[in-house]
Amino acid sequence: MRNLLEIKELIRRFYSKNEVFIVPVLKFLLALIALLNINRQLGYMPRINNIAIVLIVSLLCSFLPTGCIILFSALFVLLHLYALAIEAAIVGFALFLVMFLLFFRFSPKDSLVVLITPLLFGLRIPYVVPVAMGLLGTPASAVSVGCGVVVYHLVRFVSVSAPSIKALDVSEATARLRMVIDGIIDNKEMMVTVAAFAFTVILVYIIRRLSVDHSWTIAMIAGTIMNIVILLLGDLMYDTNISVIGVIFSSLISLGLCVALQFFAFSVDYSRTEKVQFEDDEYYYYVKAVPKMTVAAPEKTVKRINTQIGQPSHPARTAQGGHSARSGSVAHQPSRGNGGRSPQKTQSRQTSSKTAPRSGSGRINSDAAASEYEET
Amino acid sequence: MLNEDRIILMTKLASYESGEGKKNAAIGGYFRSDYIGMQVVKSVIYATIAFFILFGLYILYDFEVFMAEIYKMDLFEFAKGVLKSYGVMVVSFAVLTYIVYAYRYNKAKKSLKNYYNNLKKLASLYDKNKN
Repeated sequence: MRNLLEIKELIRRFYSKNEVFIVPVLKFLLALIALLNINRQLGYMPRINNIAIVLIVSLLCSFLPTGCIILFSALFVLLHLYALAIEAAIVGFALFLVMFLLFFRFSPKDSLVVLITPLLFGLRIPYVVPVAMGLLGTPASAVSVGCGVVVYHLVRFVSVSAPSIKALDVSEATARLRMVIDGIIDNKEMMVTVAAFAFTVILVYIIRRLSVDHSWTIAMIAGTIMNIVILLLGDLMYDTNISVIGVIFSSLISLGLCVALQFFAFSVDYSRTEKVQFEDDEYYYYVKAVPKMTVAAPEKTVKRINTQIGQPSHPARTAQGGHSARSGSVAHQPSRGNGGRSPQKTQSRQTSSKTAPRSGSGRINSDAAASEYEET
Repeated sequence: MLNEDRIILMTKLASYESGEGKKNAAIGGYFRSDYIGMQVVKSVIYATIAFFILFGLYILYDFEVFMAEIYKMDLFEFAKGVLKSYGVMVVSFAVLTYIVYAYRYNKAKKSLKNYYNNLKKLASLYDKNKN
């Protein structure tokens, strides 16, 4: 646990120092993965289904605001839909516009979830999204999560039904349009997933805000169970053909990821160094405010080897001599009653001294010596 | 002479002004009713556009049938139904907007109050320094 905490501290420190570089790199990677994924799933327009274009757009996204990643992704989807059938593009455009006008107004900060949700669906771990957003976001995040689910199902439907859409004649525009709209509206699996995710976000948010111990852990577990139950109920009611084992297995993986997320996100402020300028009547101030670092200090624990008074307590102690006296708290303890020891005992101590480590930190030395003693 | 407390406070205030404070100051510049009213009007406009998009898709969905029956159907009843759906959508969206933005306005005001208190504290530090 201590090592993990130190890693967490290292990551935080690294992020605070290099935020200027890390954020554009992350944006670039996210844009690259999203666009490559879109091209892989749809890829009907050869002009944009090109790695050079994808790299250029991803580079552009790394310097532009985060919302631009969503904008470019939506543009890529629409262009591919247009190349497939103009009717599909019309439906996709209408859907994106309605989402933008009605939903993103309330939670513009979470709009990235709309992009991440389909990506995680592709990795078969979508259940991490509602729990994570319940932990990190607000109830309004349910809207973004729901929109993400809709986008995923739109892309999947078009990807699966592309041959059927193409097979219809161009003159049958209405039939094509009807097919795409039906594919979205009649998708019971999508509806059930949206409902399950929305309820999970809200439940996780409510529980994690409760003033009880381990509220985050309880929220995660309750949210995961709630999600599974709604998905399975939806399967029973609407026959959505959800794989029960798949849902449970994926939920367990998602829960594990959420635990990792909790470890890195809970009570950690990844605040950055700020540079501010201001003035008063006398001075101009150019201040660089650096957030204070709380370094995880190595813990020193006293390990009691032998509780009986007067017994030889630590064989490696005298062998290590001055070194042990300076290095660890365990080494101090036995030196009190060391005066009248028999030669036999001294010999056993010398034997053990050959195997006892002589260098390294005090805590490691004393732990190793303790285990050595137990073996003797 | 440089005063450490003053600089710390000024840095905090400058940091707030350049970040969250910018948005809150924009909200705080309005009266409550004006701010919420403006957001509700915006929402009504957005909901109207969204409704027209959805209505357009609805018409396109069964365009041939719709065109065939347009002369037979009771247009008054049809318009009444459309208007009813529009009203329900716009009103529910406006109510939701009112709730959300009333909450956001109160939150921004509270944050600005804290900011003004810090400004007062800064002014008192200057006064103390002069005396």
